[in-house]
Amino acid sequence: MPRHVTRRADRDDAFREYVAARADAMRFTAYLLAGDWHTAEDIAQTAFVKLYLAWDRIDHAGSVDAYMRRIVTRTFLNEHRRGWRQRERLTAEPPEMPAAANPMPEQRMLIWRALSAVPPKQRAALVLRYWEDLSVTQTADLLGCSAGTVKSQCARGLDTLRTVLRQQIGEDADEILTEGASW
Amino acid sequence: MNEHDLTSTFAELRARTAPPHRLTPEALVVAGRHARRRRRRTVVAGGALAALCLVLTVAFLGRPHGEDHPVPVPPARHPVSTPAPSDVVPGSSSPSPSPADPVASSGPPAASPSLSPPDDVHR
Repeated sequence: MPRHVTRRADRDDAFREYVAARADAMRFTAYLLAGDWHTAEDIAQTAFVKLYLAWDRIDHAGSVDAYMRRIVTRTFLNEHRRGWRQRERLTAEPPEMPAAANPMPEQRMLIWRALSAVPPKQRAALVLRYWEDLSVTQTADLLGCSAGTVKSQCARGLDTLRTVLRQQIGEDADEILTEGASW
Repeated sequence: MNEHDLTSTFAELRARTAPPHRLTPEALVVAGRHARRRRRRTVVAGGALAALCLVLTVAFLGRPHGEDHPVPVPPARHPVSTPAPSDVVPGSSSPSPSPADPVASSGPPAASPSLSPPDDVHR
């Protein structure tokens, strides 16, 4: 068998292994960014195809996840910038409903809904900082901005969340949110 | 509400059942190969187009432009009231026209100080 064919087969095997191990986690990150599973799956698929194209170039010593996170975030931000995601799309299946077996506590559901009102870049900063647990510097590197910008995006994102929650809950929002701090 | 609530919300979402996904390794490898092939084709087509543009540009700039341009024509003058060529006596001693004769010469009249300008003739 020619050498380049063997190399390609090895590369594809390594890629398959990575997808099998990380597809779920990456799709979940995309879900936190996008807010719905269909868009999350599209973003994750686009990101994995880009990863396949770059597979030979990236350093595999633990940096694949960082690279993948970067692609997922940038794909999300680019597609939001383009605006075509906002359009309604026809699908063969009805939209999935939240599982009723283990409903979320109401306050957390409110936070999750309020997160959809946060602008994309602030939302990306919040997800990377508080879900992916990246440092300010790592987040800044990934988003292509300064550390100060990341801090301000996070602070603004949390402010937007509080404002939206106050609008949703009403007058007693502050009380509920204060209780929520000790959930 | 603070960042811990956000982290807890994310963790709660993660713990919930997610819908099944279609991100199978095999499908992604096929999609990746397809994208790679498309990218290669684009690169080849783009390179060919760039080479063609380069060749055309070089051919356009390098073509000989001496013969293509017409010889500049001097501005037309009013006819001078000199005897017509038919009035010239055939078999005269000087068959070749004198360079000073503007009518007899085949080319355009040379700007010579010996020639009187047409305006002076009419005056």
